[in-house]
Amino acid sequence: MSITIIKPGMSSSLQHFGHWGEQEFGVSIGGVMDDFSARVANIICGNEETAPVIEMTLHGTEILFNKAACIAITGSGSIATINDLEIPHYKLLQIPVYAILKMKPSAKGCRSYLAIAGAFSVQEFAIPLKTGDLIDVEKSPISIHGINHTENNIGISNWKIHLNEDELLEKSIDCIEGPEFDWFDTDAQAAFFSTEFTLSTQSNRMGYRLNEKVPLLQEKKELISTAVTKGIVQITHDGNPIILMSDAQTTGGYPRIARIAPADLAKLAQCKPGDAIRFNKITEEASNMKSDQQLITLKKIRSTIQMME
Amino acid sequence: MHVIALKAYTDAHPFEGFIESVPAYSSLTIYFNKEVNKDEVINIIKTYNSQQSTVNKKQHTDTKIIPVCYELGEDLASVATTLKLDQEKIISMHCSETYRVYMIGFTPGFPYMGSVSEALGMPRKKIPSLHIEVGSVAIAGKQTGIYPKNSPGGWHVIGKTPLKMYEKKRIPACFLKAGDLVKFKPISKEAFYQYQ
Repeated sequence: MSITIIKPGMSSSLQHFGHWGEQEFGVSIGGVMDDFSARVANIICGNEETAPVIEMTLHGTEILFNKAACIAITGSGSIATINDLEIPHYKLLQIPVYAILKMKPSAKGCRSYLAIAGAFSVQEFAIPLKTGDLIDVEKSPISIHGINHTENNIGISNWKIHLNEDELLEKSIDCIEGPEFDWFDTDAQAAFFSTEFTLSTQSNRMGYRLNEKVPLLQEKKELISTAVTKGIVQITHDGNPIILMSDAQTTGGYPRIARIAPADLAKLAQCKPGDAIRFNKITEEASNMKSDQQLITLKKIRSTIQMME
Repeated sequence: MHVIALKAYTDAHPFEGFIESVPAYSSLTIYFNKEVNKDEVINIIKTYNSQQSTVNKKQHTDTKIIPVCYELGEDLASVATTLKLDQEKIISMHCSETYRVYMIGFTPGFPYMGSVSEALGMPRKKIPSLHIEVGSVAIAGKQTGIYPKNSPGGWHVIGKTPLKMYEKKRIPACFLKAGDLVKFKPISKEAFYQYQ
């Protein structure tokens, strides 16, 4: 079984779930931007939660399925169609041989995920997909219950995952104080948490550069280059914040004002240039609780689906 | 090199929940699971520090020799003009120092090394070059570095090494690590191409 990339769209790539342990050699963690949506896609397909997925940024991706398959689409980057019929996200779909998936523009989020029952077989991750690429699927699709067959021979699961999509697309981003938080005076700190920042066009998988500035101290303090990682918010010499994302560099020389609560990186992954966000300060304990909560949600989704099958 | 010694210690005695540690010029960042109590990590480091005062910190480090073809340094001529030094002098000054790798960053395998002689101090390029070739040996301020792959960059390229700084499938993938000592050795164009 395999799939063929007809068009990669804005940007599509096969992704893992992050690789730690080589940051000391300058290797970024990488992996999916919206960890939560990507895990849900795998859960729906009955895969290992961290099986490889295809991450699709915004719209334009077109994929041909060379055999019948069971798939799931999650995230909010676009509207998905199979053979030109709009299909729901967050459901298991049984699609016929030579079906074509097309990702069409949607105003909601930025990234969508495609998982396939049996999981993609991957030689190398994170390389931008291009027209003609063939991706193998490890095993043939599993037999699936609870599917309603509709027109065009597409099966859609009769169960649904209850997710509050509005919550996933919310633009209030929780973060905790960064190591150099007290380098900023109270005005700058207050501005950081009260300003509505917008994502600049220089925003990608490495990081998001924000358009608005925070007022800086007159006396310039230089940070000696030190470690940075996914989720760190730096303030440049101009006062613009930069949020480091999945493909971030491993060292940097700008003061680290904050660190995004890991559970909220999924919300940031769904932000696109022009979107307005706000930073909301929480404690480290609260941030850890949010991560635990997200794990519980994933567990609940898994057990709900197992009950349906 | 307190940072490197502490890193060697935490790598050799990883506590439960330890993920990895990243050395830089004057810091060691330790990543660990959120289940770990931060105070416990601080205690481990304090214990280490108190032990250090009683043991000999001197560690033997080999010096790695990196061959460089300075003829292939595209900015060597402009650096010579700016510094009002002849090219031979720049090469001999760059080769005479033994450098220490302070950290690896920017891109996989890029070593930040120091300290470059003050007479060779060049500010970063105002407009970074869009294309710096793999193997380029470059200087900026008190630092010298090697580009592990084709990439943009703001440092001045004074030579090129045939050695690969980072190869995913090699063990170890990264040629240098923080704490290593490095010396550059000038080679001819012929020797450079023979390497490849």
